[in-house]
Amino acid sequence: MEVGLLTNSSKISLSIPQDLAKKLQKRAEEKGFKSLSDYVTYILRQVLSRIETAENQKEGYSEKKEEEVKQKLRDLGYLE
Amino acid sequence: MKKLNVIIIVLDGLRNDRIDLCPKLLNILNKGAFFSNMITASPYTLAAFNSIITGLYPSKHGVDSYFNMFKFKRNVCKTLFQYLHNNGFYTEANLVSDSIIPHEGFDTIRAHDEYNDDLIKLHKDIISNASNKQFFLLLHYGNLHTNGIINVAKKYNDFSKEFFDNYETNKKNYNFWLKNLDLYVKEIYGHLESSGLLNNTVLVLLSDHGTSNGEKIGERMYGSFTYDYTIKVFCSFLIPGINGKEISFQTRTIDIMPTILDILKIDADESYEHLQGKSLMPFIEGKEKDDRIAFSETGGLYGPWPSHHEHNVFCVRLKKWKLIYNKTPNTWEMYNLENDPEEKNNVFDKNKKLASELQKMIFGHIKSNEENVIY
Repeated sequence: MEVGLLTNSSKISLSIPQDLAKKLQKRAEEKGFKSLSDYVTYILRQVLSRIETAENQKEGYSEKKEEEVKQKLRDLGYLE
Repeated sequence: MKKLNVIIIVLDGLRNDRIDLCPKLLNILNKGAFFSNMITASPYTLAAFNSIITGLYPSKHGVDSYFNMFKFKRNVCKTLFQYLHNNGFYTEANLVSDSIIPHEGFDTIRAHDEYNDDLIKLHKDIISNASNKQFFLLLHYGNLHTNGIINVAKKYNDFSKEFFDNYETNKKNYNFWLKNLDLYVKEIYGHLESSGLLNNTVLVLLSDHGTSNGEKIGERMYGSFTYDYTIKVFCSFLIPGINGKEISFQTRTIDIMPTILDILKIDADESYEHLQGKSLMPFIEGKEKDDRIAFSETGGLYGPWPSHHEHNVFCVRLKKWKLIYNKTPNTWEMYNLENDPEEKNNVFDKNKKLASELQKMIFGHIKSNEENVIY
């Protein structure tokens, strides 16, 4: 799997086709982003978040998770 | 620029209209840029805290109901602690519960025992231990919450006649609890002053939401409605080199985080959700002189229309007017806050033109938080 070159300790570079980059650059400017990297990262964060939310919804809100929340709310005195 | 530390002290549940009963607190608030008319994004701690640390309304950061307390949107939201941690700060929080906020960006996050710990001693020790490095501390004073749980939440429900028939007694009890809060603030401030830390520390004192004294049947503490006794809060920024002054324009708790970034000259990271709050520095510098439009939202655990998994009560507040949308029963309330500060006389049907404009604002607020408008 290609992961690109390490450019500093917290980020890596990835390759995308030039024509796609041009389209994204145009959109980034329209939306007021200062850099293409920020815009692409922003989109990827949103997409990842939606994928994970959809997966969680598919799994369902388990009784275990629900009970964990209820216990925390009881600990805080909110739930009877 | 010299290296500044940051301390945020959240006085949980302190009503805006009782600040003057806390003389030591009031004295300290007036030493800073004191925003005396601030509106919380949500009138309960879980959602309110996450808005304070992200500059976002609840649906954007994900903690938009009591039962969504663990649904903070980590992939798309960057907290103040992550910003400061990335900028070399030591970051620590001491809270009533470590489940209130996400743990990203913290070197240390701990809960105290709200029933037994001496918060004055504990928080003084945390400050002293952090003071050999550049630090950012979040200190949570929750004794009003604790007293409310013991003396109100565990004794009454949201419709108890005994509670709602005794407003004056409830008020007296609440006011009595303020004495310990005032002492706490005085002691912590004194510790910062005597240790010299005030010279290089931005001290931020605020309340996250207010508390009912029995004004409205259906809400014995907070979180069911969006009336002023729970959504009106305050915040003061004590910034080295900047003189104190009260700023009475309406502002929002979502403005706190962008203000701290602005003070520290840290740019917002555009790859995360874009901040909905705006820095308050233009008010401090005298460049901005207008009230900001504020929204607040909640979903009760109990009350008349409990909503455990999503907010169902919304309001938009201007300086003079407030419109409330109770989504579940689909009712509207509009109040002239100048003539009717206790929000008793619903004038929704008497000023249709204004009501219509405010309705558009509320629907716009809900829509903008549901959709990603700059995708």
